[in-house]
Amino acid sequence: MNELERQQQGAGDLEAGGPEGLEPEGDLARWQEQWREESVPPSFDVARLRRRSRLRTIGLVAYLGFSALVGAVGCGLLFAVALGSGHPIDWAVALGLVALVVWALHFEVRSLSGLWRPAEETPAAFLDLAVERCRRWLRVVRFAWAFLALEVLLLIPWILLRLGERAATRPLTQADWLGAFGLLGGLVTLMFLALLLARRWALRRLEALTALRASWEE
Amino acid sequence: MSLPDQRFETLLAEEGAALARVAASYVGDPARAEDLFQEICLAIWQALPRFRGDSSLRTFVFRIAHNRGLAAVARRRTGGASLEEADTLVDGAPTPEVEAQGRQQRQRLAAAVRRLPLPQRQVLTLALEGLAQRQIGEVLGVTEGNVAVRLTRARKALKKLLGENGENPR
Repeated sequence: MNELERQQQGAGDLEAGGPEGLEPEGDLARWQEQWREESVPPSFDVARLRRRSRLRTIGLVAYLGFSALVGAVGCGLLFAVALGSGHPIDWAVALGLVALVVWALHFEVRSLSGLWRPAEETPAAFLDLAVERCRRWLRVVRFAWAFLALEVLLLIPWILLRLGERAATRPLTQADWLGAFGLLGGLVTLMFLALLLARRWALRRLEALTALRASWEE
Repeated sequence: MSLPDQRFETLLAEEGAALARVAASYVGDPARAEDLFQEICLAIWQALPRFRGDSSLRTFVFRIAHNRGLAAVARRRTGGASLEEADTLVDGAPTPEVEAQGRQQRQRLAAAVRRLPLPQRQVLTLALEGLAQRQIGEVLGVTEGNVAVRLTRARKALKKLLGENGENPR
C-alpha cells in the first residue's frame, strides 16, 4: 500500500469511526493530517547502504585482526627473549603471560557471546539486551583490572631478578632502572587510563539504558 | 539490481516518508534526523532477508525504526544529555523564520510530539501513521489495553502542549 492509498484509507477509517478503537474525531484526525503533510522521504541509496554495511564489517574484522596481531607479536617477543637467554625463569614468565592472554581471550569471548538479537525485536527486548550487553562489558572491564594486576605481579619480580643478575656483573645505572620499569610503567598507565574511561562510559550507558527501560514501562 | 535490493527500494518508496517522520520524532535537528533515517534504512536493509511474514511488513519495519530511535536516545543520554534533552534530542521550538514559512502547524505538532515521554510518543506517532491499536501493540510488544491507555495519555498531553485544552502551552 503506498502513501497516498494509506492516507486515503486513513481518511476512510476516520470517517468510518477509526481503525480498531482509535477515536479519530477531532484532534487525532486533524493531527494525522498535519503529521502526514511531509510525505517526501529523504533520499537513500542502496549502494551507499551496502558500502556502510561493508565498512562496519571491515572495521570489526580489522579490530579483531589487530587484537590477534598484538597478542601474537607480544607472545612472539616473549618467546624470542626466552629462546635467546635460555633462562628457565624467562620461559616461566613467557609461558605464564601466554596463559594469561589465552585466559583473557577466552573470558572475553565467553562474556560477549550470545549477545546478538535481530533488529526487529520488541523495544523492551531491545532495551533488555542493551542493558545486558552493558553489564557484560562492565564484567570484561573488571576482569581487565584483574588481568592488569596479575600481569604486573608476574613482571615486576621478573624484572627485579634480571636486574639483580645484571648488578652481579656491573653497577646498575639510572638508564637500567628506567629501561626496565619505564616501558612497563607507561603501558600499565595507558591501560589503566583506558580501562578507567571504558568503565566510566559503560556505567553512564548502563544508567542511561536503565532509566530508558524504566521510563519505557511507564 | 538484485531482487532483495528491488524489494527494499519498493518498501522504502512506500514507507520512506513514514520512517523519516519516525526518525524526526526522536531527533529534532534535521541533519541528525537524516542520519537516523539512514541508520534505520541500513538496519531494515540488513534485516529484510530475515523477514518471514510472521507479522506484517509494516510492523516489522516500524519495530526496527523505533528500536533505532531508542538506540539514538540511549547514545545521547550516555553522552551526558539530561533525560528530557536526550529523549527529544532537543532542537528547541521552531524559529520565527520557520513559523513564517507556512508550515508552522506541522512544525508545532512535530515539536510537541517530541516533547512527549517516550512510551506516549511511540504510541502516538504510530497512531498518526494510521496503525490500528492491534498493530501498534505488535510493533511495541505491548497489549492493546496498554496501547489504549498510553494513547489516551498522549492525546491529553499533546493537547496541553499545543494549548488546545484552554490552558497555556508549556
